[in-house]
Amino acid sequence: MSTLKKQIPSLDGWFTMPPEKPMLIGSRCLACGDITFPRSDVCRNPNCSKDKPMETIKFGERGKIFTYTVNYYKAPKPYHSTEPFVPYASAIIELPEGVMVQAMIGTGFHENDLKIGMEMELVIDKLYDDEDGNEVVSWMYRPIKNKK
Amino acid sequence: MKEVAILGIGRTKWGKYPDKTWDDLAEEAIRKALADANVDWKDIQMIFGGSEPYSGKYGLAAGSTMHIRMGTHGIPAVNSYNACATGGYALKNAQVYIAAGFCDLVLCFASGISPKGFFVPSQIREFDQTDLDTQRFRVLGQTNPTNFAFKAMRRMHLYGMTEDDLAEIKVKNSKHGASNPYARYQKVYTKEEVLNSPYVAYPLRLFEVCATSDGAAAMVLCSPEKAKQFTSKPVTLLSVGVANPDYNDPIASHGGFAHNLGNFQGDVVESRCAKVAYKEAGVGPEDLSFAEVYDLTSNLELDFYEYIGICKPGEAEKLLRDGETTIGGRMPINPSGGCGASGESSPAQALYQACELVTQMRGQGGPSQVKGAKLGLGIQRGLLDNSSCIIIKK
Repeated sequence: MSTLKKQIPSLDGWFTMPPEKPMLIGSRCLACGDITFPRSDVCRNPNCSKDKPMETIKFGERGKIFTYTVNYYKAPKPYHSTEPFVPYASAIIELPEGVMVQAMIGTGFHENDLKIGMEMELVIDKLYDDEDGNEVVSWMYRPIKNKK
Repeated sequence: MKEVAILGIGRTKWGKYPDKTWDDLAEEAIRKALADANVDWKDIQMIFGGSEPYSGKYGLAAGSTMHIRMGTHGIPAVNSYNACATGGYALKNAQVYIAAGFCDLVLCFASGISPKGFFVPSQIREFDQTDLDTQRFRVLGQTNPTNFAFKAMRRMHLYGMTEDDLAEIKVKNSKHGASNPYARYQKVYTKEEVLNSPYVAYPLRLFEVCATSDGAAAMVLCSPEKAKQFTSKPVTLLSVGVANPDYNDPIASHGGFAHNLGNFQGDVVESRCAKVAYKEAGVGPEDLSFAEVYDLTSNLELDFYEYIGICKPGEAEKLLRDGETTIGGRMPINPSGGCGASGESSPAQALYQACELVTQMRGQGGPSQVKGAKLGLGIQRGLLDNSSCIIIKK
């Protein structure tokens, strides 16, 4: 990671930025406990009384792979591909908070490197370099390090 | 729910038409349907049309646009866009209007010109955080095959679906579609050819992903009483089930980036939609002669065996491997060749399927005719999980 490049979030306010610990930023309904990601002022649970407000929460530090794939064809814009295109993995992560979150895993992963049920941790890592020389970073999940 | 008679059907051949517009294709399909029904355009009392955002503003007002193009004579048009369920909702609307007695001779149509390759956002607002269709590409790199691969991986994990199964579905459907004059592809594939095609999104390979295509389909419908003026044996639209997912549906996308996992005991959206259609028709899966299901990728065909209730969850692979879902088997699936053979023109695909059901009921399926076909089902799942299911009887 270059220290000269300015890091900007892929989506503003959806996750913490370095050097803060990586966390997703969402909302929890104080009435029913359901979580939204990204943040929302309203709870979408049709069974919720909705008589209490939503609070902002940070969550999603760790989770398990619910399902995943490796993308071998270049996705169209607005996906920012390198030239030549490098395959990348993406997944749905099941979090202990009771939510499933869609996530990029990133390049450099083969389908056999990942497995449904695998323990993953949240990282904030480079998605692409923008035209102004900024490093656009985003939330991604990676296999937990120091664990075989 | 009241039955409605299907007087005529018309389709373009599915393909890529770089020199044509969605309304060119729609006119061809409409003129064919009117001719098939032997109905004059000026006798149509109401029009139910649909296209898609790629067709622009006039496509979103597809019924009104085609009313002008065909020669305006003052009838109302209901314009509907429900992505892959567009044609299903157009049929549902037609059925309800006829059943309620507002009209008794109507036209339904849908038409689409697709982008080449992956579906893409119809307008890209790169930094608009509320434009989730843009953000799923930009931030998550999620194409449609990505999402279908997510489902395929679950199926492999839960039920032991194999890459061979995925290839066999393509082989089966390519044989079914080989004689279909409306399918984009007539080529019969071998398992080796399919397994040698490159991965698009693991475990899905290029030949297991349907091609984005152009095409239009149309149908003339009327009340059973009025139908007697035209034919002694009309094919009957029994029901159209339409549904959206439950809040905790574990496989629904809800168009978002996250959703809550409740203690979900209900039906996933495709099953809900099929159950609504069965209930309204007063039939069950055991009464079906065959079905046309939405095989945008091979694995989805297996999911649909379970969603439409022809087997229990986890049993679809066995049905496939035993040849039960091949023409000649107990429950042929996609005798038309499905989306794998036709390609997908998303707004028109539901009506394409409905036209296939009618063709089978008329005994005009040629080499792909299902013997003794009496009752057929077509099912679609669309953007934001909005779904439709059509049941047609002889």
